[in-house]
Amino acid sequence: MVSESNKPLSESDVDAALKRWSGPVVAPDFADRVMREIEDRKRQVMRTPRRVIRPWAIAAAVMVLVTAVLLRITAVTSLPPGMRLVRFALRVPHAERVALAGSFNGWGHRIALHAHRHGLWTVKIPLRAGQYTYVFVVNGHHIVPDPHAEGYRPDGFGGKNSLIIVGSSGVAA
Amino acid sequence: MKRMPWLMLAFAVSLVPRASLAAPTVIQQLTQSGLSGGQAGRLLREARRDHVSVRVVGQWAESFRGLARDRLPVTLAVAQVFEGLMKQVSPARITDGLQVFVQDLHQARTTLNRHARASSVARHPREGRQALSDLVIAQRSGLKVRVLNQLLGSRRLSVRRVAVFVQVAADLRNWGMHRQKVVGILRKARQKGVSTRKLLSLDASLAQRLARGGGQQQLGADLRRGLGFTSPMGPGGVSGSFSGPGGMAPGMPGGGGMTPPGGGGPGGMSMGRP
Repeated sequence: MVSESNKPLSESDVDAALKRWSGPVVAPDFADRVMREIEDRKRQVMRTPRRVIRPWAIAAAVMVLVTAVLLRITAVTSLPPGMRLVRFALRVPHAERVALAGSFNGWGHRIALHAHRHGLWTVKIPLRAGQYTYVFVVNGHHIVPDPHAEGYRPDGFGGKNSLIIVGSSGVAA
Repeated sequence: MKRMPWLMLAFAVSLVPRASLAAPTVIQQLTQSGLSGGQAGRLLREARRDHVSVRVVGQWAESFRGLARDRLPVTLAVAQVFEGLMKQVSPARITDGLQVFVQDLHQARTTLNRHARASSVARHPREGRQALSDLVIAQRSGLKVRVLNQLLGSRRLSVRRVAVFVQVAADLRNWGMHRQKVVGILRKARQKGVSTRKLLSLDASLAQRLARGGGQQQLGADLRRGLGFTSPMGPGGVSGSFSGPGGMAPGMPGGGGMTPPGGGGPGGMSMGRP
């Protein structure tokens, strides 16, 4: 409650008031109490992760991880619309390396086939619907048409290319 | 003694590989012939790798320039050269092959202009390019201009229809069917208005059948049945043709084409049996 009066302050009143002001504003143990509070809070913060690492938290984390991995795998394996994964295979028992070249990449870089048992070499590549000509390149220099191709076409150099028809709605590539 | 610096300079110049001096000019020639910078660079790199002289690459560039001048697709000829380089064909044979290809391409354009509607060619440049490529392949497969004219008839077609009929004709020819038989069947299909979709589907089915070891003797009969033509021998009169599961039948559903092994799953299309 505030009391107001019009009585002027005497000099002794002013001195007494000034003495009160110069005294300590907070209790002497204030700093210790603040530091204790800080320490307590710090300990609480340190304890929090332990509280979070509970079985349900682990399960949730695993589920999130599995979902992320599955999404990633789907993104990698799913083909763009109109593309199909086509498997090329050749049996060459004593080959050191086998590659595939064809019109699907403008007769550009050769695509290496992977070796399996009994001299079987295979590779899968995504292709759009259409017709493609191709050959196998054995050991880097030996050009081999696919013995089980869907057809053959003269290559313009006296040889022949193998033919593959992907899908049924496309025209030659 | 006075001539010594000049002699040394001449000697130094003679040591500089000619290719490195000529390369920028050849690149320029190639890019002026309608090749992109990337294509020109790749061609020159691969030519160098195979020790093809700059003079020969210049000849190729000249051929490309001729095609570009005549508004013929240079990309087809470039692919032909890349194919030759990839197969390590000798430069002389690549040059000869390119010359023949250029002649064939000119002939193909004449045939295309004769049978395709000009508006269709103008509207569909990609399919026009495709039709030209197919016509070149057909010519290589022994279907000469006269035969192609018979096949495509006098009524003008869309560029896609020309491409598909020529492509299927070339496939049939390469599977060993006689050219007159090819023309006979496909001419009838054209007159009956068989769709390009059905024709391509049938083509893919026949290809699969042959790749699985189906005989070529029944090709004509299978094709006729697939197109829904009545056999001259009456129902069931065609002996030895494919039958049973997977056998071709009139009105075979569209889709056709290649089927994944095991009957399903994404991709997994198989060819070239192990």
